[in-house]
Amino acid sequence: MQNSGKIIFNRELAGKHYHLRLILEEPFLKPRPGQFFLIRLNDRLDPLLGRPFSVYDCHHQGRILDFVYRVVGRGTGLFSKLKKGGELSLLGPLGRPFNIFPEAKTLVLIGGGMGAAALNYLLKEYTKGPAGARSICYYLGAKTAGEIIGKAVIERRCQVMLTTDDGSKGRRGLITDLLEEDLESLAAQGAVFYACGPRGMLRRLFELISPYKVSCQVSLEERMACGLGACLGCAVEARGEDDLYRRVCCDGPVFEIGEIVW
Amino acid sequence: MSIKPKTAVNIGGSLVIRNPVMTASGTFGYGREYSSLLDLNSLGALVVKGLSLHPRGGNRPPRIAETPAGMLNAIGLQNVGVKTFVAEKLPFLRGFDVPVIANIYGETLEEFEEVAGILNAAGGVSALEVNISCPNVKKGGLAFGAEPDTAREVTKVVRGTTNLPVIVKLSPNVSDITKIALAVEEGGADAVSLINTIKAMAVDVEKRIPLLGNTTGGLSGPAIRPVAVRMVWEVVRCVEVPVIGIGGIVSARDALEFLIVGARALQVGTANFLDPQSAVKIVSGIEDYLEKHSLNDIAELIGSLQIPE
Repeated sequence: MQNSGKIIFNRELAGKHYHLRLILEEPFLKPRPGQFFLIRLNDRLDPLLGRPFSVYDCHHQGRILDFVYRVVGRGTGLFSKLKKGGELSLLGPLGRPFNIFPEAKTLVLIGGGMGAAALNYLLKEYTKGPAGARSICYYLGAKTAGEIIGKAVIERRCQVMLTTDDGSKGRRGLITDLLEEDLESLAAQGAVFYACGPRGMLRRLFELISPYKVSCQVSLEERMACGLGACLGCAVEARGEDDLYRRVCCDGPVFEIGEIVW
Repeated sequence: MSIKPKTAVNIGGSLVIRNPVMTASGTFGYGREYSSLLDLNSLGALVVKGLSLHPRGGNRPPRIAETPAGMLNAIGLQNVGVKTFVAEKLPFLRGFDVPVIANIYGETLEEFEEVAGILNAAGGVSALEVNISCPNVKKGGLAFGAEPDTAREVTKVVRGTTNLPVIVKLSPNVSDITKIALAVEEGGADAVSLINTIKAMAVDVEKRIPLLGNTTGGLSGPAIRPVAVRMVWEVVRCVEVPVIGIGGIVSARDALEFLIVGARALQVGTANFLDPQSAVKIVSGIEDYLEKHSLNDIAELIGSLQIPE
């Protein structure tokens, strides 16, 4: 699970987003959609901790890993300056992956901002075989047109419903508003839902989806230290009978939406 | 061909560990979490997450925040409770040949007594580490460790309940740590471990809110190491019992500082998050140093600090 990755490229996309591709140097496990790696800058004590990056895509059975990240602070700022050939320390794949339903006829993906990165690999796994009778609707929201992640790839694979906060692409507004209009009919088709995005988006999704008896898996982000369930730093409040908190790193990052206190 | 230097140390009571490197409470779960990433048997000992009489949910998130060369945490002693530990976590650890040290926590003297009693009877626990130094809980923790009288009292109670070696974990958040160390030694401690985290705070300047849900937390990591080395150095000069050094150790070089000022053993904490193999790498780094300096026994290194005239 401990590995070293050599940078194949670290390209700037628009809007402070970067696409990092690594090749692993030690024996590795193929990640499953929804899983993540804790990635650390080598030989530095500042920043101290690794950063959790969900898998955006993988190739060669997981030897080559793609991540898309956004520069939000000093740590990701330093990541953005990394060059081809540089090395990073990795721990992973970690966490509970998305539950895949091979028989599902209708899938609904809801991605907000950076959340689309975690859903990309899931979409790839669902669309690698013949499409058959399955339909996939992707509700994709971003702040602005330049911050839409992986739109071309997504459009090749499924039907995309788009919103931006500023109306620069797709409908102006929140992605949950667009979903709300179609939700009753999607639920009636027995759709399986997957979501990743800002906390506010997921909270709204929870409100909208609660009345329906559907599966909705969400991938959460939290500050993290060990990634292994030992430090209890990445706690999230849960609706369990016994545990007050779940660990995002190993009980998640994927949860059924109803497990979490929003 | 050189003979491998001796690294075994006695850390109090009759407990001899094969090398001086332990993993610190709260950073290593109940051992199992790390068992696929390193050989637990290569550790000197492992200290499990603080155990209380009843399960504790812990503090509200966010619970951690990164700071320069360090991190804040305010977990709030979330744990499964001592009974579940004995029933569900300890059996796994019995399968290893490594001393298990149980860190214990109580809100009252009676709770400390009861937790110590349960662990004393459990089998498979090699020592108790008494937590009187957690900065992140309202009751217990530092409430006992801030004054010599209460620190002595807790130690006496635990001492009277168990025949296991008793280690008392001290807080740096006091005006004179040597007074607390002397008090717990009087109370019957077999060893002291220090330092726990330094009470600290960080602020999100955009939102103007604390970075932690608990407002304040405990600072750990390389940032605190010089403070820890200084306090260990002060304490070894005033107590007879072994001192276990803790605070920002990430490499063998860091560990050597503690040994040279007089720590008998060490605990590696935050470094486990940076590299799960940290503790075992530190063990081999210490061995390399002993060989390089032609020291046959780690005892020759411990307390070998020389202060130039």
